[in-house]
Amino acid sequence: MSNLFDLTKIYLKQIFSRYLYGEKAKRRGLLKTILLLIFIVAVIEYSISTMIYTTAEQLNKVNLSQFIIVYGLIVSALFSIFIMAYEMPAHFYNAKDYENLASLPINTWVVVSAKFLSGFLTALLYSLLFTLPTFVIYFVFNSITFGGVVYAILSLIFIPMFVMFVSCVIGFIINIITSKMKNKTVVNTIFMFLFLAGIFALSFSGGSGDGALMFSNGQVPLTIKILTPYIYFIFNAIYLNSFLYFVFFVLVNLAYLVLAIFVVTLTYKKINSNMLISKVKISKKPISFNTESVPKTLLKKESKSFFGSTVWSINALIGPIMVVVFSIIFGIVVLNLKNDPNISSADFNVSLKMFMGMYIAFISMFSGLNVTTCVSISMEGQKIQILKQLPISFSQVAFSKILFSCLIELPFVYVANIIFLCFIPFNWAYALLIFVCPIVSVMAFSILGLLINLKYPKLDWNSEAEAVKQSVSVFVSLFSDMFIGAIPLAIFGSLFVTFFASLPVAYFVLMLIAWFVLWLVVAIVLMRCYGKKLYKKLS
Amino acid sequence: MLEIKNLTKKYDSKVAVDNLSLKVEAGQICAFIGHNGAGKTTTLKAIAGIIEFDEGEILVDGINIASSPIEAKQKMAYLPDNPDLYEHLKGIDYLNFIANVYKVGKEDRQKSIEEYAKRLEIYNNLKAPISSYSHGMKQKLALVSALIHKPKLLLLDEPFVGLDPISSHEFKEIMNEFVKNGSAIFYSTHVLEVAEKICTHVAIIKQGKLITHGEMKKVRGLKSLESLFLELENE
Repeated sequence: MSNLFDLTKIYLKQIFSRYLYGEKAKRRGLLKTILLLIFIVAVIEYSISTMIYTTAEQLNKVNLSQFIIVYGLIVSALFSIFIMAYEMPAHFYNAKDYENLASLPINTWVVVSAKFLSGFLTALLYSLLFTLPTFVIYFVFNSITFGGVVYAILSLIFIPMFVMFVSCVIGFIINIITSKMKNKTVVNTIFMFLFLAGIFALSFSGGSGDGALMFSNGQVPLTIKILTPYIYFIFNAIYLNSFLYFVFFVLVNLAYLVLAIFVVTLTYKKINSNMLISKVKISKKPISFNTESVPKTLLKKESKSFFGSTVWSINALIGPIMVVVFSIIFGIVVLNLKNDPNISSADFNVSLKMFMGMYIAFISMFSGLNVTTCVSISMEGQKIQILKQLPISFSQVAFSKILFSCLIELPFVYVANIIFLCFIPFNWAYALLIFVCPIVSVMAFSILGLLINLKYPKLDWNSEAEAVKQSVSVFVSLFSDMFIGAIPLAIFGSLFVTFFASLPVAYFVLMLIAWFVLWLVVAIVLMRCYGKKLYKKLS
Repeated sequence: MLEIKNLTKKYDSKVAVDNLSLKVEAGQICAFIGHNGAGKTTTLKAIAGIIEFDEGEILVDGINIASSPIEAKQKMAYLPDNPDLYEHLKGIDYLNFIANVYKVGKEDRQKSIEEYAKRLEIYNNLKAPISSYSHGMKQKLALVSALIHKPKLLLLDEPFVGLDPISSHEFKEIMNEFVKNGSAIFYSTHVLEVAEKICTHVAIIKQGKLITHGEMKKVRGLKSLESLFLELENE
């Protein structure tokens, strides 16, 4: 047990010390670091609380406000699984400390448990983003009982167990299949994408749908009772103030914990050993000595690193793929409006204008989420020394990373635009401008992402998941991009009726382009002022 | 070829390198020895332009590393003690990447890669991904990458660690050929017997300070390098 305790302490120290006690944190100042984290969390919590409160109000209107617990926990589970499904496997499999730990007299289940606990912390933080506001809002609309409050508080620690269990099982299944393959990274990435697409489709069809409809028969849906019994148990524990249901809840979660550790422990060594003995595909072509320019060679290196990492590529490609999905959704909504006999032609034209404006604002915001640059410095790891000792300037390095980010993001955005244009009446000005706008927004977000990663790099990681997921730069980049992208969306939405409805939609797109040009200029100026200095400090 | 003047590097309150000055001329192989944590790697990284330093000046073939880093780096190559390479690249892709950065032409790089990779017995593994390499193979690949552009100054941090005896012997031959062509080598090592045999000069560092530097024969006199080192460490 002392090994478990020591190992868990090491992993937890690794997570916290960088942010709170590392050299950079000292320079930044502990207070500034804590304030920054609080600010980020506050912004996220405000958005999530608004969403949950809106659903709670709907449920309250039909006297079903108690089911907000079920709704909130479903959304929490889907969101957390979406994030943890590819993070957790990266903790267990192909981690840098595998060989070191395998050579020590420590039981496998101890290593697995320690890694599980360090990953659990991340799952807990993601889960709390949803569960805390869910319980608070529940008590706003329902009576507060001492037992209910106690069960709610205690349940916060157990709720992520299901997410961890699913993530571990998915990771185990995918890696046991792919660990012996030659192209394991590619296959792994495809499997992960398919799984995540499934989660996304599920969340869209049920989790984020109309809350009131889900509980229209006044009961927890049977699917929830079977698939996620812990949600059913904690709902009843809090709503009915029942100790028995709370006990069932705890037992089910402990079962998830034991099963997750058991499943991973069984095959931990086998999968990792398979990964060490990699089957190598040797090309029969002769060795090529072709010369390339420095920019091209840096771009090629960047792309090979990107596509060689499952965690990085999935993390970066989720945003662009969702852009395409959203374009289809927007298009279908417009089509449904067009075919709705209850909507007049005049009303349809107004709604169409609104959707066209919202579409481009939304897509521009979304295209900036998780740009590859926000972790591209972190992903260099200690290999940053290779770049630093070579006769290449910082601007060459930065250019290759920014260009790569644009080359990854823009094709998806253009495909999304083409899809959306198929659903709406053709408008030359709009069509032209929606192809110009993403160039500016993606460039701005890519440069900002790189700058943020230079400011908050994470170079000494044990697994790629640490660099990509447990990274301040990802959070700061994500939320700064959302902030920049949300402002025009909010302005358009709030001023549509009074102002934008009477203008051609192309005018709004021009304003959007101007907005992103402003941020592009800001990003370039900041990069020129601080980028090189920050790069020099990397070691 | 390499001139270090009053180099000082601090990490918070700890002085890693303290007012270090030395010269390595063309045609010299200078061993840089010291106990663990003495400041050898910090010094090498400062010369290579990887880390900034607090005081002093470093000139590589007359070019100041701080004010003209790109020009200075064109003249040298650095080999870290534990090469962390791009695992997703094949060996040849990595070598081509380095050659492209140093703007080595097709014929020159082919000649260099074929020559050094065959001598270090890594040529047949160049088409395999680096992720499949052993530590020694990565070390050899890193060595070849350091030699491709025929640098004027080779900075090596424990270059012989992980090399098999044949490759070690070949690399010593390569080092001698390099300095005969007018280059200089500055390398850190704990293997004092090898340093005694191949090095023309030696610099000994202790707790960030240079305690002795000069021609190998003059510095060690009639003693072995190991005896001298132990004596100086105990002072």
